[in-house]
Amino acid sequence: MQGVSTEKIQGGKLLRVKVDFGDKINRVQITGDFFAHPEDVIEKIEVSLGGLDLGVREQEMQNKIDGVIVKTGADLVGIDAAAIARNVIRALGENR
Amino acid sequence: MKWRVIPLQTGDAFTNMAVDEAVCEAVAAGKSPPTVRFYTWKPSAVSIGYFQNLNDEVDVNVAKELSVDIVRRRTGGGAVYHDAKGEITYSVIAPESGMPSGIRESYQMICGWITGSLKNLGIESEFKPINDIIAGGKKISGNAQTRRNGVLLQHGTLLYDLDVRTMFTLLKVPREKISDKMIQSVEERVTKVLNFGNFSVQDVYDSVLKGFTDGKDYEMGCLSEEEVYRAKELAEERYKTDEWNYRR
Repeated sequence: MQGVSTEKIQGGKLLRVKVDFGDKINRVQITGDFFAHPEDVIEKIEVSLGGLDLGVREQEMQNKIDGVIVKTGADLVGIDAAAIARNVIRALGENR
Repeated sequence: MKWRVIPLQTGDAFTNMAVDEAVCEAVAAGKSPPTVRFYTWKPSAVSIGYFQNLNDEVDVNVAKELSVDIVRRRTGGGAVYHDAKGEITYSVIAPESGMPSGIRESYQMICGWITGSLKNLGIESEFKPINDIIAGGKKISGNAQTRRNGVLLQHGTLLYDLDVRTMFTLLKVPREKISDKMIQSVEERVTKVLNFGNFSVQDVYDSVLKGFTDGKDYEMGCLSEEEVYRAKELAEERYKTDEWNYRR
């Protein structure tokens, strides 16, 4: 199954999250008009979310994303870890 | 820091993006000086941000009908319609060490060169974080930045005579973006230099050239042979390929 969530972040940029899932999250794709330096942090975040249970808590997911950002030394402009986690949860909708 | 300034050139979308990257490589290798270049797009084109999905942002069928090229940028930000006669694009390519370390501060500095350019035409404008410049309450310039291998690339557009109808035929603007800005229509978001006076393209270019060079040590220059060769490679191997343009 696939779910999509789009949000224009207040004071930030547009974020669109697409999630492929079955029993678990299979694949997450993060797109939008935001900025990230270095850019490959977004692919690293996508990979880190693969395999998570559908019932994962939003805060737990946000912590995981924050961990990737810190480890990469990345700077996200226009979106943040909380926004990504929030929209992954929204994309999963009632399938959680 | 001594700058090389490359005067206004016209190129297709793939070449324009490839030249920016070729110059970044040359600056990173210490083979070329910090560079400011100006260019226009022919044929007209849409560039999408590094993190955008092409099909989400652009009506590909309309682009084909209108013979408008589509290319993915190395920089983030949103989709931009580059009208062949409707804008001037700039690129600033410099070692990070010579620029403000903060992304927001460096946007503010370079965007200040654009507001200065507009002031040369008597147009008051202001930097609106994250990456826009507004005049009369509407966007007149969009800008995007990346930093790789110790080199900062910022490119952006100054809207001169935008064909708004064509732009919004090509671009799919998400309703979330419209509702956030509390506007009735996307057309209300943008303006152009010609709305502020009967300026020629040469007037605008002269003012931009002055705005970007005021107070700087610079000399007019051109691309090196190596940059031209590398740009041709990058255009063919990256920017013209579906692998790149549809990568997200």
